[in-house]
Amino acid sequence: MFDALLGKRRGEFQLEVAFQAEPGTTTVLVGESGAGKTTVLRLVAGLDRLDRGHVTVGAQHYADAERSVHRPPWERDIGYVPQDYALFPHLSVFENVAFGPRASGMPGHRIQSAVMDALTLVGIPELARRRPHELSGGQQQRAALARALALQPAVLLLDEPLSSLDLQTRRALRVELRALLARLPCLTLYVTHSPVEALVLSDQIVVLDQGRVAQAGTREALLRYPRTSFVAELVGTNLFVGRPIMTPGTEPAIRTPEGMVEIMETGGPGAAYLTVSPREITLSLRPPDTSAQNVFAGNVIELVPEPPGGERVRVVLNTRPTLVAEVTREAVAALSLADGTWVYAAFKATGVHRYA
Amino acid sequence: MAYALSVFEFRGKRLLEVLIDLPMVLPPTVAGVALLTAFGRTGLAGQALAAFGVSLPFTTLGVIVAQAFVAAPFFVGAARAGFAEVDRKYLDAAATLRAAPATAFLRVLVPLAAPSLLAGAAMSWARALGEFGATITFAGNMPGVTQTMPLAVYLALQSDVEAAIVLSVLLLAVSLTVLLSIRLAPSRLAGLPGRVRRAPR
Repeated sequence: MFDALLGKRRGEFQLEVAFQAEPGTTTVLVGESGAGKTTVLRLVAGLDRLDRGHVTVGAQHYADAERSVHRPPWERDIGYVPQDYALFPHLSVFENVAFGPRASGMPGHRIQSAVMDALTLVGIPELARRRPHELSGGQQQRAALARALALQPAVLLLDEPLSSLDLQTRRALRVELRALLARLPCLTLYVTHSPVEALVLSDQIVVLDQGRVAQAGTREALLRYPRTSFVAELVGTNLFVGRPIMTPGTEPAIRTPEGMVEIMETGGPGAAYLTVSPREITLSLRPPDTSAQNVFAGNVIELVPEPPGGERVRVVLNTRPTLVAEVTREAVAALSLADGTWVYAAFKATGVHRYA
Repeated sequence: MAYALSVFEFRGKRLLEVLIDLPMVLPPTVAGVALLTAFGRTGLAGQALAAFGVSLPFTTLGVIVAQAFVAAPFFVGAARAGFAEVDRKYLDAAATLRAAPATAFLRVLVPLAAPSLLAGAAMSWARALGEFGATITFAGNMPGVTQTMPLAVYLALQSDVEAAIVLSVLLLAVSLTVLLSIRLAPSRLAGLPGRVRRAPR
């Protein structure tokens, strides 16, 4: 059981993050750059000191600010793959991977097999004699992973392991990494800004926004029940938060700061969360006179092919709240949508998913 | 010491830096006088050493002390710059791989700073080789005991010009070799890739 409460102040930036995780699982910390993701890993690794809170792994207290406990990194059972890998340039791949075993005083005859096991695990045993600068980006990533795994740590920390790779390598490695992480007995904390990586690799997702946890849960929970607009944007849906209008005799609707949203059933009183899938939204140049009950108007601010180079296009509007519609390429051409085009975005009450 | 200067911030750091650099700009004879005052029979350090039966002035050991005193700043300066150039990410990585600071220093910092350390060592050695003023002031000029090559050149010039020229050419060759090897091969000497290419993106 991993338990962390991380409080750290750095100038204007304030980190305040708490989460738990189970051995053998992967927790993905996802957020934009500057959300505090790397700081979380550095605090868990012990490279930075906590101002507040604690880091506990099983029965071991790695850090406890209240009791002034701070175990240095070299006394923590962790493996760390920093964003730029930081492979030692003066050592071969073999010696890079052997660094941890040697520093921990592993007997010489066991080092050879420990290193080759780790290199085999990540699929590059044949590169043992190479120097880091002779490796491709993907190979460097594997070497860094092998180095972190050579001592079979209890906690594996990965900082944007795929972000510096080209798209193709990234896709291939993502699949491999998922299989590898599922096999490892250690607990993995995986930091990324990519929602796709979060959804593909995680047992648990912790969404970070400006140093705080915006939401934490399984990917299903986040996809279906986003709680903040940031999380909704991350999982690619539209979110309204409001309160039901409980007046009898009126159409079921939710009052939100951005206006009324008609839905199928009011549901219970109290805060109402509404998501509208981008595919449920239709766009038109004139106010629609169809049966769609909910209409918002605004300018197009961004057109994003989805998937990159694919058949569909995500259209981002400056409506309040910001709405994202996903339409076909043909529709974009037919409406001659471009940045700044004034459009009406409409969706039916049946297209709204309401939850408390 | 160079490591401490490159890594830590502390009170009096500037003062310490100035003190370390001082011998570089001090007239060597003044350095010799300073050493003589400190390590001479009446000097504080000299009296302390005398208790162990060690006397430095006008001995071979004295030559070494004088040259180290004058040449050390070259090494400390180069080493300091070399350590400061090493990206902290490598030390962080070493720390997460069970390396306590001493291990990280020996197995990561020193190898990565090796080109600068070698260059600094060569520079200070070359400086020591040519050292004249501090040596003659502190250790004297006794053939076979404290006579260094530049001193021999100076003496030879007054009696045997050809010998002086031979010695000078020898010194010139040595200095040139040192300088060339510093310029051309520090990376290769340390076993580092000459230029670390970035991975293709």
